[in-house]
Amino acid sequence: MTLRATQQELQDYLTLAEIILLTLAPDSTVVHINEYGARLLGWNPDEIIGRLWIENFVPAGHHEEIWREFNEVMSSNDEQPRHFQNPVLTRSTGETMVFWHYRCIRDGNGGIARVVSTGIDVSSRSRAEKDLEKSEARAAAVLNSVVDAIVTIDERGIIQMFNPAAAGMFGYHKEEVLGKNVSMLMGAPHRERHDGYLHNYIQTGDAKIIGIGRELNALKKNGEEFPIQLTVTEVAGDGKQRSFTGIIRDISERKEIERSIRQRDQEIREAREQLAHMERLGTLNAMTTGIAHELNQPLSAITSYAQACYRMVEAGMHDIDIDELKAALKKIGAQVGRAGQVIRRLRSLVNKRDSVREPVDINELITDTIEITRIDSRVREVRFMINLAPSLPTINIDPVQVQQVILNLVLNGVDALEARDPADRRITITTSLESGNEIRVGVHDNGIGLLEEHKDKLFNPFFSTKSKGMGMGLHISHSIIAAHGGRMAYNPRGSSSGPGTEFFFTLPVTDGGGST
Amino acid sequence: MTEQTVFVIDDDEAVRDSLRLLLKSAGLPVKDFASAAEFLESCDPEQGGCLVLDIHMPGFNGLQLQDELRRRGAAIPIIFITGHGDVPIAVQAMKQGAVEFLQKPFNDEDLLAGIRKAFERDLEDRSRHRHSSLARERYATLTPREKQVMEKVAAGLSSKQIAYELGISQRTVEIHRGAVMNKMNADSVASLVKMMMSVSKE
Repeated sequence: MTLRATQQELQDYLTLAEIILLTLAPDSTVVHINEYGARLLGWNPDEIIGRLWIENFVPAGHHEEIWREFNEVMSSNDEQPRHFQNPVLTRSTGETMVFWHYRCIRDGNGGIARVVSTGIDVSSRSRAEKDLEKSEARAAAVLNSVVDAIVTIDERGIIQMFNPAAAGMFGYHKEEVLGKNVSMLMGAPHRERHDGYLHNYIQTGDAKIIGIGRELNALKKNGEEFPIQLTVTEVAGDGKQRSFTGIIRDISERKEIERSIRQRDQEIREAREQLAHMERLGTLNAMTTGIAHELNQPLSAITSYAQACYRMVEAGMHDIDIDELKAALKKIGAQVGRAGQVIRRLRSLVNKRDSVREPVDINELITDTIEITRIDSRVREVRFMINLAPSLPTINIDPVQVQQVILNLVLNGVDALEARDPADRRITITTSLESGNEIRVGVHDNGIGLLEEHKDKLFNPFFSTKSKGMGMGLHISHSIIAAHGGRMAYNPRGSSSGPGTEFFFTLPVTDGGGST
Repeated sequence: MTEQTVFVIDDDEAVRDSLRLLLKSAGLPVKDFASAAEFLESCDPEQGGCLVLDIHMPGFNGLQLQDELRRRGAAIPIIFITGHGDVPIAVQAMKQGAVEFLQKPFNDEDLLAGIRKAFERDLEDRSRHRHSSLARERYATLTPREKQVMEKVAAGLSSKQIAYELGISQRTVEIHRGAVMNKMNADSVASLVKMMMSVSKE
């Protein structure tokens, strides 16, 4: 009873300890296997005892090595326990790995021998170990293969990890930086301040960069600074030691692309301004004779007045009509002013300058522009009807460019009037406030009207119906208005206002402008 | 001799006013007009003087006024002034008989020299005009036969040839010839030829 009880107790211990107990005869017949061992394989002990162990319970691929080890154990006189690890076949899952301790025991005569073994199922353990190994390997592989540099620091800023991409990016070997302060990788001004940042974060938890990311300058081993995108995450460490992982992306290339895009934009804008300037010069060129005329008129008057004054003075003081002389001198001054005015108006067309926005009274700009158009001799045959809406708000525009648009539309209108009798040539210019937030400027001519087939192409570059036209006028005007946030279109008028065409454009009224 | 006046026609008020003052200070009678139409309204074809005429004016321009004056038979000389030198227009103006073509701004001496030249031409023109109109008046008093004889004398035929051509006696030709010389107030065959030319010009 006591023995039995002791035996059962032993079984329970072995089961609890998850230990296999296996005894094999010299031909590998199972002499004994305990409950736990049999159940691990998926059988009852009775179903295993009496069967050949190696043949039935070891995967075929391992038979040879097991037999070799088994025979060695059987023939040795060494009583020291040996150990071995091999997979065994189970009923359900196929195989499981068992780590054995065993030795050979003999009876008193040195005759019949047995191999007694204890085994531990190490599969579940080895799987966990393998998983860990794998995930570590995977993490290492990721860290080693990512393009982004990854640097981990502790809460004092000491570098703990530095991946190969980081090494490539900064030009340091891992060994040169591990254990050193991360500020060695930073450009000014962060280099000097980083310890402070870190301290501040540890003290206050006030994140300036963690979880946000920013662009800043980093420092290579060779002293070269380069722009990076830095993302920092805090890694919860075991215990109270915190660490921070920085993912660093070299954005030199992106910065370079951004810079070249900005430069391209700048070039395009300059080209557009250049084109607008050329168009203004073209307009000016077409008006050369008119300009000469417009300047020669006051110069001629000045000369004649001056010569008249000279003659009057020369004729003798007693004959002189002093009032007439004074009036003539005053008129000379007025004519000088007139010539100056012509030059002032033209200067804006000639000057090449960057686009500027300023508050402008559109009505004033139109009146001024019509004065310029009058310089063109053809325009002098045209009657202008000016319908300007009173007290329009000022608008924020580039006056030179918008003047160019008005000039272009008026001169186009004048061209359209060529076929009409001079007495009947009319251009109507109107301004109005539309729905409170935009100003509309319309230029209507009572000329020949648009041809149906030209309507689609009007705003195209290099489209012109004139023999001497460059074909850029309307195209440039259109783009100037678009750049001001307005739109330009035409309006083929019906019979109510007679034949002809109205071109119009709108300009937005911004909050910046006040009432005139 | 009637007084010669400078007629200034320019649409630019300042140019017009300054020219008026300049010419006045030079002692010349001046009248100024803002347009060709304004001038034509008050124009007497017989008035003596010259035009100082702007080429570029709205409506009726300088060249058109020149044409219109020729059409009306008004021979008043023209000095063109222009705000810009346009060679083809200058050539056309000179071909049509302009005295001078001045580009603004011009020197007063150039203008006054031009005006003097224009006044001279105006005088000549008008005296020639007076002569030819006198010749035409006298010619009108001739009988048809006398006109025939005058024509042939002026063409250089002898009395004998004229008599043969007209189928009349030489003596009759002589009588007609004497009447022609008398009526035309010609002192020589040469002056008769001159008169014949101004008559047949019409």
